[in-house]
Amino acid sequence: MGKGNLSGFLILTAFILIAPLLVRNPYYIGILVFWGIYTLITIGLSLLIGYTGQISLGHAAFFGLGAYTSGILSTHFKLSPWLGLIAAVFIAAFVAFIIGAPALKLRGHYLAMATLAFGEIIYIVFNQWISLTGGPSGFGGIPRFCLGGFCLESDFTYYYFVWAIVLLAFLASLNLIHSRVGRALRSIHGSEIAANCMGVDTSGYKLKVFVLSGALGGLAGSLYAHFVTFLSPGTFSVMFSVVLLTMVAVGGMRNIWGAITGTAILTILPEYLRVFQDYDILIYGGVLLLIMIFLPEVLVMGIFNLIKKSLKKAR
Amino acid sequence: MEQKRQNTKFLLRVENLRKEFGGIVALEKVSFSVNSNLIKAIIGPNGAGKTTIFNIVSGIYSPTKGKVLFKEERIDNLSPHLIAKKGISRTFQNLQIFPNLTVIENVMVGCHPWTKSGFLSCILKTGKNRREEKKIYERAEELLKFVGLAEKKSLFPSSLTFHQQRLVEIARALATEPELILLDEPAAGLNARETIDMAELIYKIKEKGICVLLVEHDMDLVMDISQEVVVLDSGRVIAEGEPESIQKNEEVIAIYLGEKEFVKNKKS
Repeated sequence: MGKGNLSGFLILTAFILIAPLLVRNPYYIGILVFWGIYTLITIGLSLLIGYTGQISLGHAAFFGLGAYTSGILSTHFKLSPWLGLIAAVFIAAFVAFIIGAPALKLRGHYLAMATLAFGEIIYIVFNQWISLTGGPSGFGGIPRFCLGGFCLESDFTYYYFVWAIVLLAFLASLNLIHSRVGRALRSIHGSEIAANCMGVDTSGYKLKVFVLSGALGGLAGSLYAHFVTFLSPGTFSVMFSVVLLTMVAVGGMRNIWGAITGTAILTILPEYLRVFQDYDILIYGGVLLLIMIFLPEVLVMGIFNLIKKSLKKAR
Repeated sequence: MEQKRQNTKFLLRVENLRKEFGGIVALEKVSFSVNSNLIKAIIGPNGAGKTTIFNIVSGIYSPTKGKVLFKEERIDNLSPHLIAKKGISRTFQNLQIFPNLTVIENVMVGCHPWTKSGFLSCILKTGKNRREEKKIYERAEELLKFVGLAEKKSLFPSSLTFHQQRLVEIARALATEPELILLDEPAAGLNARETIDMAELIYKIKEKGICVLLVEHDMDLVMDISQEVVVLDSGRVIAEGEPESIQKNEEVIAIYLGEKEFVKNKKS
């Protein structure tokens, strides 16, 4: 991890610590929790798409698998939510392994199609396996996480819980990117053939990073289930996979910081656009378009450079 | 000593290689061997199958028929990363540099076969991982110095000249610590001065004890630096031997004179 990344990470941590104190309104703290949960997924997607160059249009499915696994185990089977969380990660990782092994032999559009189909299949399962998932109308009453006698009931405490996990995952990803494995992943994006000839087990690495991103999706799903306490399939449709992809793209594919900022923009922006009432979607699309045109790939870097410049001026 | 020499006599042996693409036969009954510690060149007109041989030896293609033996061990049908681990590395005719990695990171990827850190130790940055990372960095720096790019290490490849990008590929290939390096047209696209530098570098690689097998169109370069030459035409070996004997071989002259005339005409 470079110097820039370290200071960036410290600034981010400081921001995360004080953000809820600035917002105060519980509704907005809820939004910040969603930001954290979605960021977990987009960190994984950034590693998969931005760094390794393998697209996925099915990540809402891993998110859903995690949510339903954790939700069903803790509600129908009365298991501890913590067990649910662990199971969610493992189930999502396992399914990613089963799907990824054949699908990652495909490239580009074909891989996108395969993952899209996978997402759709999982979505249908959520809708149709009524005895377990409650079908289209879903099910509620999912318990919260508790530790000893203390339960994460308020949005405020849950916010810090979620973001502690997100920051850890983010730090882990920063370490990963600037390491032997990270270079191997990036080299696959650069030239798969050359990477392979330099001793990189390209199919092995592609599968591992797919499983990692699936597991992060599952983890996010469990955190979602025990926060919202109600699940229905709509949340995990293919459309949400597209939204996740947009988050990564808007923030900047080639940089893990893009995941965190892109997710922030796509989670928080719609809330502020409510004032425009019927026109909110129109303006939302316009803003995304402007970002992609004027700050392609490097949204974070653009913002960083602006801050750097203004700091220099201040000195 | 005598026995050791016997063992390493044939570093690479290719036997009766045949490769078909659909209905097209790209290689037929191709056999040759490469002794250790020499520079050997594969020459032949365009489409003779030279690069196909490289792609088979490095594991990108598997042969339709025939064997590839490296140190008396079959390596056909192994995947490229395992072949790299066994000690064969390569460069590419149309550069396959990693544009999204800096110059030194490109070379560091080459250190993959002899390093171990996995996902977990990279995420946790264990002491072992840090030590290995340091070793990788130092080795890559050394190799960049060897090819003469030490001061370019933190740049991205796009800001290098074509010649320099070639050198990055060679440094990257050397980073795998190969016993045999395959250079696919190392002088293509280089000017006269750069070609001479390249010849010197290839010689230096051989001096390090690494066997060089190269595909090249620049006849002067080939005849200058290689100890042995294989001539390929339409997927068959038509001659093999020392440069002097190849230059006198009538079949080779017949094939090449045509092409040389053509090249001359094109130049004027």
